[in-house]
Amino acid sequence: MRYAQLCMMLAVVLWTPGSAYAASEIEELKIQLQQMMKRIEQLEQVEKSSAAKPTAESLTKGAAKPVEKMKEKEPEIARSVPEAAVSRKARIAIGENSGNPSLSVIGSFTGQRIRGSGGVRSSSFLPLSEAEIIFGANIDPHARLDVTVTGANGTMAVEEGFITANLPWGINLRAGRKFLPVGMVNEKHPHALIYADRPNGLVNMFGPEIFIGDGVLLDRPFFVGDSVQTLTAGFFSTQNDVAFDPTGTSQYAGMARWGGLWDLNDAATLKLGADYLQGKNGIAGSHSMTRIAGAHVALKYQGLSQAGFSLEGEWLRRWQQMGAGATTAVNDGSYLLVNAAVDRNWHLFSRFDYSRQYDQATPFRLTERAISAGLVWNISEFQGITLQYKHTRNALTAVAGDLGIAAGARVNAWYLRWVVAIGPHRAHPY
Amino acid sequence: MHGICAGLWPSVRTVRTHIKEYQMNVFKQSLLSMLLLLPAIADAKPYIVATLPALGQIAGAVAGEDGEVKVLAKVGQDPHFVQPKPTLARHLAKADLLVTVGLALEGGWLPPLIELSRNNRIRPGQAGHVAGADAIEVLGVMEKVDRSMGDVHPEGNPHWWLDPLRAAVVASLIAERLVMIDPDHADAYRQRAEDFAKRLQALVKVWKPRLAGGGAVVSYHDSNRYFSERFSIPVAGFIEPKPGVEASTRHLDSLLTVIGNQHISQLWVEPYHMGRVVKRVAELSGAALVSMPDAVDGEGADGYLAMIELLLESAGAEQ
Repeated sequence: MRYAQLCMMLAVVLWTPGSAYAASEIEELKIQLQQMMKRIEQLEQVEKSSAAKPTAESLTKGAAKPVEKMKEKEPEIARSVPEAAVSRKARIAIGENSGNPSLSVIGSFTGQRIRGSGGVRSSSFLPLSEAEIIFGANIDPHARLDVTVTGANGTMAVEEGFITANLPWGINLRAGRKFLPVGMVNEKHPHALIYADRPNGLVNMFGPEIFIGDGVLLDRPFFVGDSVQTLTAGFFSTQNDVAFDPTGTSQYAGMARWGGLWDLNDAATLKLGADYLQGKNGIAGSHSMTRIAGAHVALKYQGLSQAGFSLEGEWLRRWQQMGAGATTAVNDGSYLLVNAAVDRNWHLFSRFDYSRQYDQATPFRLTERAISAGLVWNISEFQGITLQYKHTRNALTAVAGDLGIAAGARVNAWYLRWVVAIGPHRAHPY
Repeated sequence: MHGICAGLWPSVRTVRTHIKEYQMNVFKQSLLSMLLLLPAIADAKPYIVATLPALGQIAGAVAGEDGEVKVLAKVGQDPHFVQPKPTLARHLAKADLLVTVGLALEGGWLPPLIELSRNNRIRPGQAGHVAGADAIEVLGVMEKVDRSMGDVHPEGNPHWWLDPLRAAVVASLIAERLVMIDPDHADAYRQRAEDFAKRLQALVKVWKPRLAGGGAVVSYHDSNRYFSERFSIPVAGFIEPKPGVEASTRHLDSLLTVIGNQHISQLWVEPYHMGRVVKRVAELSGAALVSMPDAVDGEGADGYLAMIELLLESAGAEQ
């Protein structure tokens, strides 16, 4: 049909009496038409080739693939034009959305059943406890933006939103609002943790919410032998009301961190790290500071069958000045986690939480212990279910407030968490 | 006082002379060091990092003695689920060329490593980044896809390296990229790629008639599609109901019916999927459980050919 139309056009051009075209223009038109016809032939070849390709239906799993449809193009050392076109078509189908940021949504449905001393009872069954909407894309060749909007308890808030840029001398810059890289757990999003709760040690240190800072973080990895050593420095403001300011007012603080990861062999790694933070806490006007120091360790082993284990622990100590001339409150928060992967889909874990609170002016000390055990079933890459039991003894103030029990009480808690993810989501850090 | 000081301390001119001599010495030493190091720098081999062992073998077949190859994943490791250990980024940091499968196979673990390496030469779109899938005809491209279909790769089935002829195409692409990086050895790279291709073509010519007319097989995952289509071996079904999804008993029941009705003689399973479920299916169906590794030990062309020959021998054993 297209040939016929083109031929007719050519005939009209050539045979119209009194044509305004000069002979040279007619020659040019002829060349252009020939080029167009060649292009049409190429496109028709591509169309035929695409039609011969397996459709989505024929690719559905479980269906037998007819042998006679298999391509017989040997030798196939260089890709032919139709093949190149098919490959391009595939890329275009995926690349259509390349102008937009990647968008993923993660839903955490966490039910809990709490039975505390003093007759405390509470329960909920799989409410949508948290929904994270994550946007991320490169801004230009120099920087990237990642934003996490979190909805929880009926409110939405920007939980994280930061720019990542590569500076000279191998330094990475992250500027904006970010989960602070203190220890190993705080920087991770809750859905990435194997357990359903937050370790009591961290709750006592920073409260039930993640320790967030608005500011700048600089880090520089060094590849030394078979290891990676990373140095981090940061300056930020935080509204953390447990460690810094009970009124929730922004306070400025600085931090320094070292992290090292060594390959012990092909399947095992050892991670060590240390952190230090310092800033005004706003508890009693000026001159009151909060200092936090910590260390962490993780030993991970994973075999080829995805079975493996990990042992990780984290300890943090907080010195909180209560004002000029007043005593300094000291708190310890720590945990030790053992995780055994039966295979890619099934995990067992147990965690021991230890916290201590004491006043330097008096011999008065409070010690809290908790033990957890749980089972994880990763149904697929995109959803997993966690069942966890936790027993806490002598709950300190922050944990008691979080669980709705009296300080010093003991409590049994059951958690059932179902995490689902849709959309492209970046790999979690190792 | 002035005279005493003049005797004890060197004059300004003397100090300047010493400084000039020192600077000249430093300059000479630097120049000498550079001249000594120059041959070493000039002879530096391209450092090639491949994501999977088979890709490392293809790259090694092309690079030969003129390049150094490092592989990130291990033989026997599921290529979808390599742990993104930051220590792997140390290889990427000094890589001149990164060879990947493409089609998002490594999407779950490679991007953070490239990010950590801060090596701009090997970022996607750069000359130092080869995605093999860009050079070949991709099978299994899906127009519309969502996750209800399992962990499918919308851009196409990524397991192309199990087709020897597609491997040859990718080898020629690697050769061209190496020519850009190391033009001094251009002829050698191209020649090796051509030799590799000839060996693979010869292998296919020998094996294709041998396997023709064989019965259908059942595979664990859709990872043998390129291989089975190249050698005209029909695949009747999969142990996974959908990619990346564990088999239910209902699915396995229907699969056993298919195996019985179509007289399936082989169950193809990657070593990392060789578990209780597949052994039970083999036991109940009577089909032979055949290990189909997507990587074997060995270097360069010989290593890659050993893997393909192993697959062919395994596939042909019960045909």
